[in-house]
Amino acid sequence: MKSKYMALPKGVSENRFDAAIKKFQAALGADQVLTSAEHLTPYTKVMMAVETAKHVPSAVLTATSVEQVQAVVRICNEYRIPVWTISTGRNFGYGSAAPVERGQIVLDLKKMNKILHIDPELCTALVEPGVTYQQLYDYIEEHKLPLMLSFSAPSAIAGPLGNTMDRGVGYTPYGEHFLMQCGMEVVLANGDLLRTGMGGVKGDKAWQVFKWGYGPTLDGMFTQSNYGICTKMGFWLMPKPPVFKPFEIKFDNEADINEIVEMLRPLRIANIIPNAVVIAGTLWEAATCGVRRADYITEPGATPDSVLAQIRKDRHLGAWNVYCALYGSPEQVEVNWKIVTETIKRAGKGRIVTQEEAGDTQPFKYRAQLMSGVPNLQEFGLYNWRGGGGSMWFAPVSQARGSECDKQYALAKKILNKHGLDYVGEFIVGWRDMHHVIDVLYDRTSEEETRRANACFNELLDEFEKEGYAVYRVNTAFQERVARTYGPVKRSVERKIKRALDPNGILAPGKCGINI
Amino acid sequence: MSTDRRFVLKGLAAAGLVAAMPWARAGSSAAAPIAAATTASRVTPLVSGSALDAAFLAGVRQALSQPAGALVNPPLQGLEASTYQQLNALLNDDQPTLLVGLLDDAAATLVLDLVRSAGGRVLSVEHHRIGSGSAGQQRASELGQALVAGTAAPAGRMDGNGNAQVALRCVI
Repeated sequence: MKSKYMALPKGVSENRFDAAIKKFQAALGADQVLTSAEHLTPYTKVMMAVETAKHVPSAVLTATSVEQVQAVVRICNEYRIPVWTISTGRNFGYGSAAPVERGQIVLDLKKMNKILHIDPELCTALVEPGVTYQQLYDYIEEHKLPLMLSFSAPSAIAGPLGNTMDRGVGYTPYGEHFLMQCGMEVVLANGDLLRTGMGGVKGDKAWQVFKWGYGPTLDGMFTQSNYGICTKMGFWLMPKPPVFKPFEIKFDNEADINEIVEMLRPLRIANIIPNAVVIAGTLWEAATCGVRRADYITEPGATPDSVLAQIRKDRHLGAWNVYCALYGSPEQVEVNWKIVTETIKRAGKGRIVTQEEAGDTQPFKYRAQLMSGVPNLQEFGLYNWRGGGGSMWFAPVSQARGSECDKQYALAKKILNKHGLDYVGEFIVGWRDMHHVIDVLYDRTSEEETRRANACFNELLDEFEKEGYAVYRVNTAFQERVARTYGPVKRSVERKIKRALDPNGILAPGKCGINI
Repeated sequence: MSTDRRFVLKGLAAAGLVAAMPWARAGSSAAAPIAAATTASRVTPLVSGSALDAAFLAGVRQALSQPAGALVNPPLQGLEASTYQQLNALLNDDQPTLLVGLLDDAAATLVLDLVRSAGGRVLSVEHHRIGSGSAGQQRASELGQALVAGTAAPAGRMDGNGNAQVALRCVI
């Protein structure tokens, strides 16, 4: 039946939805309730290999205060309206601003964008959901604070709260963002306001400095979940070091990945190299500095190795391009630089490129910016490699062992090439783990290529699971599928928690595969 | 203007991508052909440094009945700071604006999200593959005209070997 809405929430009639919309308008103001196709269209932009129609919202609400968020969840409970909350909505390649299921309303918190507190002595921050990294960067620069940010690659427009709640990573020594989170304020499904850690103690001043509080530590259960709406988040900032020394190590052969990881791991675990090191493949680096597939080849399908070799030659790229940085006093950096250079010399392969040698060339420049907390948008260039608007991040984790990375790389490339797609990937080295991040790029304007990309993504999940690997994060079209990988007991516990906290299942039902 | 919008723009300006995104701004009150529904008094064409830019901008000018060279500001090439300043000024002035663009995927992704964050309306967005030959130039020009006029672009053949382009029409 034709509706005046782009979509309706599952099981909700148009009349009932009309009534809910009126309540939302009364609570928020009519201008904060959007239902027209023209306003909703940018919220439907997805890059996943599924029909856009599956992720169309029924309405978009914007809130400007915690009280308004509380009012929204109360109305949602009254009318059984599912609500998908976004902070900045820029989780491109993981679902963007669109809801996990058709018909959910989007609660956009972009207008709650206050930096509530930055303490330059304790190096802590407290922010609202709509605060972007660029906003924080400008604040820090304007006030000349001796602090440094860590952020994901779409840094300028993404925000710390959304990235941390999705357990995203960055490229500095503070790159494991959830590890650096300290204190949350969460609106629960019944409208109650929970403060985690020390936040519930009257007169407390330690909310942003002591994570654990008393009793069970609850912060983790609100990340990658649908148990509450985070309206404030605290996190730690890194003191800006007197010396920052970025460098690159180029390796010529794909087979070098094993040795690279074995060489770097001890340096990373011992904090000689303290940041989240990146090992980027050729096509990642090429695409981010403007190379398009059509510049080299017009035949469809996987890009041949001979073309990859030509791109390396033309663009002076390695098969693997390793980016690291040293931070600290001149004395500390000097000692660590000696250790690093001697380690590479002993390995007998790998060419070091320093900042002085690289100058302003890309991709070194934007990599150095990411490692020093300067926002940019250079990685959006990935979308131009094939063009057509298709992008899905496949992000399996593994031990930081050369053999594991070698195995994952070979398996991923084989599957991608089988489906006529390219390996465009990088490894991000945590302390003991590897986040293997692959951008499955495809032409979403081609139905045939979209079907192939969907089949490819499913096969990647299936084949990696057979080898004991799972992704740490996935786009909204595959969240139910990935939840199954983690086993029935975990899912059962998650469902019990969901039923207890959100008995009507109004908060983002289906997110990460969690339903009542 | 919301803080968020301001910072999105700063982010755009900071991007190397946008360094290659020239912005052109067409004359204001002469925008007669704009569909009434848009209620915009100004047209701003957006291009992202492709071989089709000139043809697209010519189509926009034609639809606005403006002579060649009548753009208020010429397209900017590779100037991050200027690009930011011009775009920032545009979105700061609260004057309703019709954005029409023929952009690569990276630029289109950013612009559409900027429009979303600014509370703008997306009137149309379509993907194309357009070659850089004469047929492609003609197609780009037709798209420029159609986007300003608010009419459907005449059907054109997808050029499988052409570069991906996104044609968009938004009001902010």
